[in-house]
Amino acid sequence: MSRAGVESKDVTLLEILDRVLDRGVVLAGDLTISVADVDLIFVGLKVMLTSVERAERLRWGLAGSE
Amino acid sequence: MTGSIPAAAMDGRLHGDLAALGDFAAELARVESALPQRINADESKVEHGLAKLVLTLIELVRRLLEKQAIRRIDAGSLTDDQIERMGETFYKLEAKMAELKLVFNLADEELNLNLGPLGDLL
Amino acid sequence: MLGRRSALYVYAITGSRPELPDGLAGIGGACLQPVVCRSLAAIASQVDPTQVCPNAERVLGHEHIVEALCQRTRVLPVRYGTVLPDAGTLVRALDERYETLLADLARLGGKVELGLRVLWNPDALESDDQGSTPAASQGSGEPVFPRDAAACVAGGRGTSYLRLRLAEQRRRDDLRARANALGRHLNATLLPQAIDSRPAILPTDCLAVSSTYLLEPTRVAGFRESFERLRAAHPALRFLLSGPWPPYSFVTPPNDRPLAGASLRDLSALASALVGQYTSEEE
Repeated sequence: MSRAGVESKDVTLLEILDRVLDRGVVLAGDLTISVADVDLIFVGLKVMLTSVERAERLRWGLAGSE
Repeated sequence: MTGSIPAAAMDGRLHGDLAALGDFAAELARVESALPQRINADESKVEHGLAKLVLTLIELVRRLLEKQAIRRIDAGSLTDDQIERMGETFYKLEAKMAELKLVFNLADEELNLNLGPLGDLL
Repeated sequence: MLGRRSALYVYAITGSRPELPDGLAGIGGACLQPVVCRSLAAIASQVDPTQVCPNAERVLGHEHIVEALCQRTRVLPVRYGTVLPDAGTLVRALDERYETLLADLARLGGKVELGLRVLWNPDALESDDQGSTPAASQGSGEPVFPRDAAACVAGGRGTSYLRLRLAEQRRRDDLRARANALGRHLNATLLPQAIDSRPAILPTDCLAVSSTYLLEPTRVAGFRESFERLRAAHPALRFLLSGPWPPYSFVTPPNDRPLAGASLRDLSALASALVGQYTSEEE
């Protein structure tokens, strides 16, 4: 695992994700997206953080529903 | 497009042992992979979600029973023979669970029993 | 600019006459608009509902909007991914939780949260008993295998399996007790400077404490100073303080989540309560 290359902005992003995806007001919407999709982003993050050449990958898009 | 938060707005939000950011990131990724697991209502993923739910509950019961057994060993209320037979059963149960996880392609973290505000179950 | 289908994506709850940031578009590019319900408003924008699956850019965009709103008005941050079909449904959703939202807005509006994470090396704790962590004194330096170490030799596969589990269990119990003591120690210094806290003890073996503190923005600097003093006092631990963030962690959670949105945590808690009841009767 390459830990040396992790920067403040990576950890800041993790802190934001932790809040924005799992906390905050929950409104019961008919259409509130299937929250399990959220798993995807964390899978993506784990890959990103453990990847050796992760430099420019912060702007990854997720493979998936689009 | 919205545009992301300007880099400047992201700066200065972290204080402390910044030399260990990699370690913090690794632990955060680990916590977070366990946190937002919810059962997916998406039809194509229902089977996977159900397997996850059922295996999580089985794993939960297995570990609770195992914990009870351990507690009794600790209390000295079991004979050697009882311990061996119970241990053998739990050993096989765990092997079976490992097999099922493989079949349903579920990682250990996906059966994580973190109870959030209640703390870890086991 | 709108997608084929259109719905409302919600970023935050504010009072009914919010000042919206200029020139800031929502996810997908549509304008922000307030949807008013009595004295509350939801800040929303039109989205194509197929275009909200989370990615880094969208999540940061959501956060950017919430923070921009926080700079202008009192705000309750809404969780990412809240999409409702139309304004009518949104008003009903606000109406349903109106009293809670209103109280939360009064309690949290204008406040910020800071996240505290403390890493330790769980394998080094035993040799760390000289006292650099307060947990060590409470843990009393008891060895991980206090007794029966010799008994591991006896018995077959089943016995050694359970003995191994027993040793693991003792190690975990010890780790948790130390993390709890550390959490209490940190809180004794930090909580007096905060309004409230949401502590998590030992979410992973290496993360001893992961707490969130609710603060008046004016108290952030003082809190950081206390944090630095604690950090200096515990060289064996590694500290990270993040924020200020909008007070996501302190909003009142909904009490009746639909099953499809229920987390495994809830179900595990339920199952453990049931099984716990059963097994304790047995003893």
